[in-house]
Amino acid sequence: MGLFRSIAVIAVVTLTGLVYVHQQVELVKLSYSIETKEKKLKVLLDHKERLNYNIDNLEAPARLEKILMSKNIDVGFPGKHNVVKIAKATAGNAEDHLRSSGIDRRFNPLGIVDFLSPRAEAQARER
Amino acid sequence: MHSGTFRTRLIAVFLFFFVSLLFLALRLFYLQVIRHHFYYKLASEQHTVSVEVPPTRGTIFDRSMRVLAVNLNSNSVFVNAREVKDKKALARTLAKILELKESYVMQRLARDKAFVWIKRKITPQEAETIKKLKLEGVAIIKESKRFYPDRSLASHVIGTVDIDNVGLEGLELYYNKYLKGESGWLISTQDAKRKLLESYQYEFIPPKNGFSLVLSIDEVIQNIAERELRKMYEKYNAKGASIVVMDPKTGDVLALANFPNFDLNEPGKRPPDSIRNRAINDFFEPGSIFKIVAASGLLEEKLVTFSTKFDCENGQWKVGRRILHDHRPHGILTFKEVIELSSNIGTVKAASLLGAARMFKYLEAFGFREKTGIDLPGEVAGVNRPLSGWSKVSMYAIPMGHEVTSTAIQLACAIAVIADNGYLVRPRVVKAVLDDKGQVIKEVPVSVRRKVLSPQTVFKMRSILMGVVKSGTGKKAGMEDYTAGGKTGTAQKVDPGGTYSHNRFVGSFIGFAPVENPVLAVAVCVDEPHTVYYGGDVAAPVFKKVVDDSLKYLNTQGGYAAK
Repeated sequence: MGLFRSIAVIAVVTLTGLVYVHQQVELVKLSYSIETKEKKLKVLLDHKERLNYNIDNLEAPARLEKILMSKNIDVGFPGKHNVVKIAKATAGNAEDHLRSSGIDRRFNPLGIVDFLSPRAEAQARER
Repeated sequence: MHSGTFRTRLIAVFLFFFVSLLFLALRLFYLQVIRHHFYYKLASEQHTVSVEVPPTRGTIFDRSMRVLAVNLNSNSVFVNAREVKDKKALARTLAKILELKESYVMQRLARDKAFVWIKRKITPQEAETIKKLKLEGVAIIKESKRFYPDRSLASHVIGTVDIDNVGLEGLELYYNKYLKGESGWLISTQDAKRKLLESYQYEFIPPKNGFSLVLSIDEVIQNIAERELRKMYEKYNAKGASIVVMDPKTGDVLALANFPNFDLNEPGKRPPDSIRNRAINDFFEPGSIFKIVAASGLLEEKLVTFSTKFDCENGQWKVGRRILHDHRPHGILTFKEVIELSSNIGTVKAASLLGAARMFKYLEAFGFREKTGIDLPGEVAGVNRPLSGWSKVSMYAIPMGHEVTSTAIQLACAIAVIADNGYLVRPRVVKAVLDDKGQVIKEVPVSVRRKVLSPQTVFKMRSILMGVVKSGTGKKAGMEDYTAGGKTGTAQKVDPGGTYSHNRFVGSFIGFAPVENPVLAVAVCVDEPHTVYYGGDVAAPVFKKVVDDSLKYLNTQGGYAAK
């Protein structure tokens, strides 16, 4: 009995040790994996920043003017008669319209039996 | 007998192993218990690493949130000199790729250090070449570098940073404490190959990224101003030129440009005379532009009316030992005509009604004895003597803009007084400071320094200055679509001997538009134009083109509507 107990204790300790070592190994592997992914993320973010910078560079007014001038395209700002100001729309978005008109779909508890009867629905004609 | 020998040998072997194991156990006990602290500390030092996490420097935006300055990662080359066997060959290779002197690279490699910079913030092509070669002891790390997408646009306003991203000039210097941010720290474990083990991170203090600046500068108006200034600068082979475009009501500087200028991405290659911000650093005698001060004072004190007459002595007037000249001879002129036609004699005679004390009062009121307070480093106030320092002949010089000095920004603020109902505003380049999430953490308020003129005087001055453009010396500033008012100035520079030069001039024009509701106040100053040098000929056309295009542009932005 005593021998059996000793063997059991040794087995439990050994198993615990193995689990602990396995856990640490997995942690280290995870660290490497995180590091690799973080490096990748950094590279992608760097690339994105650089692309944004390139866009800003390409959109620089001096550069655009230079290109237009080199192609003899004379671009100027519109004169006072060429600018027509349109007032901003007073209506809000479509949902606001719908709500205020009272015809928005409200929850219908009997809607679950709708499938039993055919519905008339307008359909866009395909061109 | 045999069993006795066998038993003895067995005991001997057992004792041998037992003693060996006992020795090992005791040794283990010594190392892991007695010397635990020592070896733990040693391992900790080897495996624990503190890494500084650098912050990202804040971005600089124009007033429409277009990027003017941003940070991107750049490659820097360093060498572990201790690992390099053939230093000469490596020096030759690196010098060729990085365009450095071989002797310099050799000097760096001669250092017995594990980390030696060779070149920081290199081009992507250079980095790619070095990576491909896989050179012994050579490694590349990422560092943050400042980039400016518009290259030379607003170069004197934005300024430059050094290799460590510390501001050196312009806004980069003035607002460095906002832009720089604070480093963070990462305390973690590293393996034998110095790879960080994220799972064993002890502590992470995130960096505080720098705040961003939103400027009052408009990228489009800045480009218009620089384009026209460059054309004039090259056409008249000037020594230098400056332009300031302001919103007279708020003091917003919409554009500030100087020539010569430089590419912000290559500050090391700029010529020495392009470094300083002439609009705020250079002071000069303004000449006839300064007549607006005397004229404003006379009208404010109700000493003259538009029709008050002055004898302009046909262009030549002897006063004591001095002879005053007009650039064109005039006879009797009304006060309005004196200013429109920029008669020196008429101005001096009119100013004598004002007197020295009140002349000085208005000189001060218009801000010519103080800095404007613009948020850029290096501004000067010019050199203007106190009233006690004026001589008996000062009143024959000061009203026409001699014996006084001013900077381009002071002139812009002065004309803005007439454009903004008589108030002297503080010019501002930065409107707001944002955090890295885009939240406003500080707004720079509009600041009115003082009231200078009454609305009635402003109305009269606007009318006179409109006359300068319509029928006076500033005709070349007139536009088809918009009304404008302004004043020309052509000042002789002082030669080293102390006398006025006959071939070195500063030609200027200050003005505002539209007259009925000024939206823009502009000062254009040209240093030593050749062969033409009158302000009305060199500076006024720049004003016209810049203001015309700027007002049309603002009109498309829902800003000012044309007359």
